[in-house]
Amino acid sequence: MFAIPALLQMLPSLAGVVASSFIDDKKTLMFVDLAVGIINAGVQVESKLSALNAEIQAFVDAGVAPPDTWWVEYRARSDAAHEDIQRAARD
Amino acid sequence: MRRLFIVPFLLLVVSCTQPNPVQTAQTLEQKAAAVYGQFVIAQEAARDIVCPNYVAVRAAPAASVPCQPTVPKGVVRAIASAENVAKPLADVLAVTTRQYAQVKAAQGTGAQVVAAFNALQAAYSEALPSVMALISAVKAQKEPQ
Repeated sequence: MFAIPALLQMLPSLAGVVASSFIDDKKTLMFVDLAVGIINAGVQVESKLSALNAEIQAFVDAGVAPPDTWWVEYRARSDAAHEDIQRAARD
Repeated sequence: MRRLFIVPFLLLVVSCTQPNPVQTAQTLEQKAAAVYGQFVIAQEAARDIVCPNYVAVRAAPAASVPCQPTVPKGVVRAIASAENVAKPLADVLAVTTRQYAQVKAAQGTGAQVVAAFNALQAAYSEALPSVMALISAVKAQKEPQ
């Protein structure tokens, strides 16, 4: 169980190691940058999803509903992201 | 040619191990929280696409630093539109979940609990499609074309 998050964290560097064996020109280097960038973005979402899943699992184990503090924290994150996204659409 | 398979393979590994909080949840309140949490994560991923420099934008005085999206303006508008549709529905889901918890905690009458539960169920059904639409819009930009 514990090996999965650790493996996910290692994926970007693993991708670099695997891809480096195929590097033969500048174009390939750009490809490697792109690949590592995409995987990094995926890992970031992945770690947030894992954290959320752990929180939900804790509520399930305790047999409780998420407390008000949980909703307040997520609502604050949502409001902040909403402002940034709508500002980007206006810019 | 072999190198072309690296990214899809690694993305497949990531997607296969992806946790599913909605599946983990057991009660409707927990499922509502899982959906809302995934909505917030999708919003933050959307922000990373449409305004990756948001920290600098926020710190700058009144609109002096614009967002620098990593995608064309049309994609920014499409993501912002999907987010703008999902946000009020997701917020209603959050509010009705907390109201249901309050009614239960206050040991309301059977009719009050049923009404609050029905409201929560309706909010869940209404929010889900728009939250999924936002997640799809974000995923389309994060996955290789």
